[in-house]
Amino acid sequence: MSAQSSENRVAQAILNGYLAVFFLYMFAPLIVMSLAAFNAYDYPSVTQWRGWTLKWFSALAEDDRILIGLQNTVVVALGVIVISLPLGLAGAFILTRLQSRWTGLLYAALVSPILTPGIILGISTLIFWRNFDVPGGLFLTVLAQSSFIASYSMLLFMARLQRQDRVLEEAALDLGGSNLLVFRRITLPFLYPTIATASVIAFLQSIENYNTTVFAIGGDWTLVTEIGSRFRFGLSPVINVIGVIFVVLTVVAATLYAYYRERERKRVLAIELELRAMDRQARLAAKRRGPEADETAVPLPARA
Amino acid sequence: MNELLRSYGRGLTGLFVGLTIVWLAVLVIVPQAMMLEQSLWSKERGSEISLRIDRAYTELETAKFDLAGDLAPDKKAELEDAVSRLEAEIAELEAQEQDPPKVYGLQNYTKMSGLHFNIFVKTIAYAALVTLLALVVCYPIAYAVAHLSTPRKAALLLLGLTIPYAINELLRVYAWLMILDYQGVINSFLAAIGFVSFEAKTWVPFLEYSGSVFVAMIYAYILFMVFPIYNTLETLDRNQIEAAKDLGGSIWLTHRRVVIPHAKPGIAVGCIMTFMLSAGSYAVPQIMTRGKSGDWFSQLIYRQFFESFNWNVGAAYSFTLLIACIVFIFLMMAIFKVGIRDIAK
Amino acid sequence: MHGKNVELSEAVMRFGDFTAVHRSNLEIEAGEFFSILGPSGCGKTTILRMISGFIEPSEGRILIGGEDMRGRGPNNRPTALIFQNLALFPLMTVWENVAFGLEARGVDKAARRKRAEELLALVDLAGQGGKKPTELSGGQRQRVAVARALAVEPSVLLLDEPLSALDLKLRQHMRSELREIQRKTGVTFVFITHDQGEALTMSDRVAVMNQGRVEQIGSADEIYLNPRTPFVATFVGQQNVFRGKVAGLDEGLAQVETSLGRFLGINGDGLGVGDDAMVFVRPERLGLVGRNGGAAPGNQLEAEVEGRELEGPFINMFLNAQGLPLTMHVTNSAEMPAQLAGRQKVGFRSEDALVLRAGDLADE
Repeated sequence: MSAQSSENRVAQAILNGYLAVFFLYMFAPLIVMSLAAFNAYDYPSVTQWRGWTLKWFSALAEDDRILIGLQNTVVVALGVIVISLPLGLAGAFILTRLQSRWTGLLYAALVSPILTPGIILGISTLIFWRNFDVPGGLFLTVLAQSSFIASYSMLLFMARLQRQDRVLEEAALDLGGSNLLVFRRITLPFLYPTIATASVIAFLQSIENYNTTVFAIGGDWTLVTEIGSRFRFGLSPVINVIGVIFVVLTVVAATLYAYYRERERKRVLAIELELRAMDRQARLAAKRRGPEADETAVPLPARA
Repeated sequence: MNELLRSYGRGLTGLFVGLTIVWLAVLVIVPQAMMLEQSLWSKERGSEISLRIDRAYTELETAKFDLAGDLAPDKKAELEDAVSRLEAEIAELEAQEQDPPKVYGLQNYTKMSGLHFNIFVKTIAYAALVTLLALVVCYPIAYAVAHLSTPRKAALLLLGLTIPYAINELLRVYAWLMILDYQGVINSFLAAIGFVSFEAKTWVPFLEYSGSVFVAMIYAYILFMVFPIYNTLETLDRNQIEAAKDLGGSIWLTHRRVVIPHAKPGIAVGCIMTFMLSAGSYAVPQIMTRGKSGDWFSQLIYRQFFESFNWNVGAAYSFTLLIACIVFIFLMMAIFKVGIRDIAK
Repeated sequence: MHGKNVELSEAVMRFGDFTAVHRSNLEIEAGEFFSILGPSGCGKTTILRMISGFIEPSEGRILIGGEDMRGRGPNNRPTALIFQNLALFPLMTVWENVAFGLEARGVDKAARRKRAEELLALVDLAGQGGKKPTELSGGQRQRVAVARALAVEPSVLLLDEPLSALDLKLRQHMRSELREIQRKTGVTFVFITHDQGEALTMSDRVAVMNQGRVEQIGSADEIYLNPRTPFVATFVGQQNVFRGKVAGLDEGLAQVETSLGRFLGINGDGLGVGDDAMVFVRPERLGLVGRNGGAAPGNQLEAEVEGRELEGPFINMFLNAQGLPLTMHVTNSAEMPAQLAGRQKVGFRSEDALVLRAGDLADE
């Protein structure tokens, strides 16, 4: 027994040490990158320290290519949401309800874009649309990104739909609801939270994407491809400023989310406690109402 | 289909089916098929055709010269015929030279040079190595988050894993460049303790080692390994681990016999995703090697499209990469004995 | 609102090779509280789903108010179903739940709201319409489900074990509430349950089902006192069972030769000499011979006392008669010895014993 626990203790210590190293690995680059945003040196660096400055923040505000890139990024991301959510929803509805020996194959086909290297999605989109004389650009970027982001939303919707209580649909049908009404009042509201989640994830994946975008973007640019091309043609700490802004936004969003979750959890807990009290009172009332309600075993009819 | 119709009615079912077909056709299948088609032909601008054009021009010039002389009417008509015939032939040949006919075949694949083939093999090997390293690095993390932490601590760890993803892949990699560069953080530290000297350029050339690409790549794609494993481990009943330990199983045995078998689908998915992302990563090697040394296959593909403008070869290389990824997926499914349904959950 | 009668005529339900409901005829009268009682998997839920229209019978017809229901889906039948887990719509408020059926019929919002409040008042939930179902207690949710079903003014209300999610005390309370609502509205209630207590206390009539067949239909008294099959006899209440062969007949009585001796009982199935038979005796009809005075009963046997449980008003005695376990309820009176042990002579009157053709017993 003691051997076991000492083995555990050693393992725990090793694991804790490993976690520390791991998170150093995760965060050191972030810290380096963020610090360089405040360095007055013209090239992103933390080793050539020329004093603290905020000038790169104002430089970012005047950098037209970056600002246009940002605007394009948002346009593309919104386009991706508009296209990939309906597609993902449709696929999820079919895959959760279609009982056929082709379902497995359809599933494989619909998730395949996730398992395909991003550059290939970009290339195939570019080749396909050249037949219609559509050159690379924001439109093709939206389509190329949607091809795999739709798969991600589909998986999210499927996970949700599999947890759906089918009886609710039956109940609504039994009460006279048409398919359309049931869909509008029962199924869609059930999916609203997932629609929100899927939108956020689609948005994040879109703005983050580089490998697909770089092939489909043509002469246009997004924030990310602009950063990519600056690696060749000279960098400035403006790039780091963008990183800092994203980190701050994420931390703020995560904190707000955690706060909201905690509040929601407390609210649900309070309701449950109240309900338990209500049930207890109902039981007491039933007891007081008399022995007729207090039978425990099988109630036997009067003997003949 | 009955189930679908009963649930959603004819109108909605039709809409869903239509959208799915459009998605599959326009965004997935047809573009891939066209890429395959593009990889299967080429337009050869042969030297033979320009020879024929030259020869026809010479004949034409001769005929025109003859025409300019004094000639019998029947001879003259014959020569005029020859001129127009030659002019037509030249036009046709020139059109062919401008836009040579498609020649179908495997030439785009078979013509891959030894250098390019080496790069392909190296890329696949490196991607497999990155996948293996990422698995080794991530498994303990996923396990720790899923089973060894209090819920609050687990949430914090997950947040810690997510925050680096706030910044773009390019920036994540770029941060590593700043650390590993000749005058980067590590070398500056080494210089400060007198280990290397910038003046004498005795710094450690991390960027010239392929290991630096690995470090950045694992960093860039770590979440894709951690989360699938974490998701499966989270569904493992803690009592099973306790029971295994209670029965005297060592930590190693417990993991080998209880935890890892349960995590198999997650491990398979994590490996597939990491391999696919690494093998197809354009950004990481581009930034870490600054396009100078040690090309990866993805960089080669990019250059075929945007520098050599040889889309046919580019398509062939892309398709080769796709096949490699598909083979890897089947390999993982066979090794971990998981079905397609378990993948990408 | 008024009830309609429901008729199953030669109805059969098959799923592939499996027959869930064998050819059945069932007549449920208008305005009656009718229960279908049986163990899980006996086909009772299938019958309910056939009536509600979620499935069509493979053969035969279903008539409601004399009208053939074939081809009419659940949304086109004068029925409303209360689901086992109630199936309240969690994202709608209570009143929206109640008014959903009216929404489906295109009733405008103000009218819907008004009607919902009336129905909520009917089930003692006035003023609770603005809450979400998760903010209600188990019993309250139950009543919302009833109100929601009543909102579509069904002629027949189908209830699929709706009390099974509640705890015991609340369940008993809800029994009387449901009965009360049925009386107030006059709607035909078809109540599915595996709980005999529920079926016997609430219903006007009960159908007992086993393995896809309706074994008996009758009032609670009939089912308990005159079971017509070994299954019904043992599924409802407790029984002591003796197996044997009919050895003789006597004016509606049959004498059965068993390994424990010859027993005389009411010949419930009109058996002939030589038929395989079972003799059923309720624990409360078994008694110690030579106590309580009176004439000694006609059927007697010896059994070893193995244990006793005090139930309060009576004592549950566990006996063993040559390997056959028996149960006997003895009134807890002053004459009862505190300790009763060893070999005892027990017996029962022939009019308290029922002889039926041997058949399947309930597992319980």
